[in-house]
Amino acid sequence: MHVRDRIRLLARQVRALSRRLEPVAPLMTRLVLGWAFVRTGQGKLVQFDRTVDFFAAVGIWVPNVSAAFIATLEFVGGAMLCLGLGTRVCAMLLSCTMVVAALTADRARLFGAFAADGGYGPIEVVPLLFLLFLLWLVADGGGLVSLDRLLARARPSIGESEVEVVHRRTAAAREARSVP
Amino acid sequence: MTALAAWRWVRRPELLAPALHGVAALATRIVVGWTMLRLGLAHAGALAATAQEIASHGVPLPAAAAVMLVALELAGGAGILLGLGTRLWALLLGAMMIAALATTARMRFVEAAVPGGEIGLLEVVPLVLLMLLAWLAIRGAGRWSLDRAVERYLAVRRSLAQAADPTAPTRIVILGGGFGGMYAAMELERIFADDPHVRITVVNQDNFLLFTPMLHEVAASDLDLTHIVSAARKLLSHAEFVNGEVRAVDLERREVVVAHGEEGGRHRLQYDHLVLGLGSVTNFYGLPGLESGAFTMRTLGDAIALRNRLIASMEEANVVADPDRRARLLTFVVAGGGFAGVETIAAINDFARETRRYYPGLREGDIRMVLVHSGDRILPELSPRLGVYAQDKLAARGVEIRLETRVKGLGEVGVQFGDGEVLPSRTLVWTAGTSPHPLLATLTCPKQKGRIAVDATMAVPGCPGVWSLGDCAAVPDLVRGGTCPPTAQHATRQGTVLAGNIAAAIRGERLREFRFRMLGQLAALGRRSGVAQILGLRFSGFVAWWLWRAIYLLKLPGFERKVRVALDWSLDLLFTKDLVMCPSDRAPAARRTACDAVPAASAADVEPAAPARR
Repeated sequence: MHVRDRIRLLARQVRALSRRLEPVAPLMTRLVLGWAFVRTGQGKLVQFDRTVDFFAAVGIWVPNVSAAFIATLEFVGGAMLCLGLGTRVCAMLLSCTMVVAALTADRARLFGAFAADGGYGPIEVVPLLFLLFLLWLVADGGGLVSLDRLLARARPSIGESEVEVVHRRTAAAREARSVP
Repeated sequence: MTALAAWRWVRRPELLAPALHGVAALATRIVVGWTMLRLGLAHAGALAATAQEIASHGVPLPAAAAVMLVALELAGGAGILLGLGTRLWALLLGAMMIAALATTARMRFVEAAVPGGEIGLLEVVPLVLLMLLAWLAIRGAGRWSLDRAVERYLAVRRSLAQAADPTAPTRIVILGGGFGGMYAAMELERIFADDPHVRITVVNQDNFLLFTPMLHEVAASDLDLTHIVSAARKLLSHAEFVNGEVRAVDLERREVVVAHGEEGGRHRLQYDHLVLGLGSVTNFYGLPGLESGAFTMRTLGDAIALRNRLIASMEEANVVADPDRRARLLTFVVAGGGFAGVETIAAINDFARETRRYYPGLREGDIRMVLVHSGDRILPELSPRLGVYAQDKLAARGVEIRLETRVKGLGEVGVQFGDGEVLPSRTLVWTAGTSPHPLLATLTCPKQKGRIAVDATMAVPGCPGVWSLGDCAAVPDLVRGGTCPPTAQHATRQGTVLAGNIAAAIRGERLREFRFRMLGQLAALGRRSGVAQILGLRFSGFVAWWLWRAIYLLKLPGFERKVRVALDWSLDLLFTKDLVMCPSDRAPAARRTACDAVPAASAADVEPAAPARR
């Protein structure tokens, strides 16, 4: 077998194998992330006064209202992520809070991550990680094992099927572009 | 306008997906690649400490494991950062992360997983990496990656190739679905899996691939009838399969005539590349009575027929009193002391002697098994010591071995030998001669002892686009000299090389020569013993038998069949051999069933039954 064919065969096998992992990544991400948000949201709600003080200290506007909003969002949104209910909307809202967090509370750490001798990499900046995973969830949805998928199957006219349509269109467009 | 678009995205976030995928994949690649490279450099700097840490978790060969770890981290990190081979690296590194979570990071992982702990799961670096790698594995490297560039380049090349050659697809026709033909077809399928411009057609008279090394196990009822065959259509994923008999090959007009079906339909297949893998047929050397009366061991039908004959003879002998007729019924002769003959007689000997206890009219001494061989010892392909061992083993089990004896014919009474002796027997199994497929005689290409003379690339000289392999080709053996022996291990490897050569010929690349050193040969002698010669080492007895089963089980094509055969073999530890005849006639109908009208009147020609002996 020619080397080129071998590579092609390997690529096919790798793709077949990764296709089997399809449900794993979104599920794992949702559970880990959702649970983490439930925990931090709970912490903020239980010690609400300290949260408000902290928000004021890092310079967030209207600290008491935003603290209440963010604490609730993290708690409820985290639970919904775990279930895979409204994954995209939840992930989008939570990623907004994470942008704020990264730019306020963890600002110094964020910029230190990419310094050559910082001693830690981007993977250790927690809000950045959250953002990255949330980005995947916004882009990809809750995956095969989620309430979203279950509901979408019940109402096939809206919901997930639209993603597939979009995907197909972009793939077709790409194909059309690549053929001279 | 922007507000409207934003509102649309909030309402339908999935519309953003294609744009976001690229961003997410790139960001993930940077984070993962950066981290892997940093880890790799750190580990490389402290290789000894890394090896020690690995050793403390009980991993064997810690030094080698540490080097592999560092290599994987550096190569994988770089690959992911560039987006080259992303999915492969993601899978490999993902497996590594799982290993890390089970060993070095286990304490931290457990601590983080306990609710109310100090650290969150996202602070366990291997877990975070595993999650990110999982995303890369399922979604690939995204828009800004070398993977995508390569894909695009290949797509352009493919479309250019299609535009340059708007003619009909390249047609590859493979005649014969034995080991050579089938393996060539499967390899071609793999090579041209995503190429719609190559059409592969396999022609075979059976719609299955028969695993001939296990044929005697069917004859001896060790395996179920259908477990040693695999449906050709299941082995092939998109090659076309034609169940029919090859009638003619026209090398000039480049076409093949195939006859198929009961109604005798014929059709023509045109080819650009032709693979002749028709195998060989039994050669009776014109000996009288053999062609009509002798059994062979080449097809599944042969094995079933022999098994039926064995059981039928025992059933009949059980009720026959006349000693001459009993002897004739219970004497089984196998001609040929090669692998097929020896394995066949060992298997049917075991079968007959094991199932005898169900026949109260038969005694141990009644069954006679005779192996006839023209040489001075059996299994001439193996070393003399193993041949003698096999002889002793078979003799101890009650097989008579007649060396330097030739079969001269098969008559009414029995088998005639070269010295004029006639051994009364009703069953002769002929494994002593093969000749190439008769169709080859009609071809004009060069031949060597009837087999097609091919060069080391398996191309037929003077006939461009014609190839041959397996039993019907004389493929030069570049390792030992002479031509390759007609074995399955050669045919399967020839198939693979030949497929690569056809691909190379289509693309105008260099052809590869077939060069293969025989790994070894094995023969099963029944009752958990065997002989084997593998890579120059000799084995006999139980070890060889076990090797036989293990090796052939691995070689059996298809996972499903492997499971079935393994189950069959496991179950025969518990149960005795099956002795059900495999009936081939249809259900009785009123007109077809013959009954004696008045049994009492014709009592004269009803012989007395043998008294039951226990």
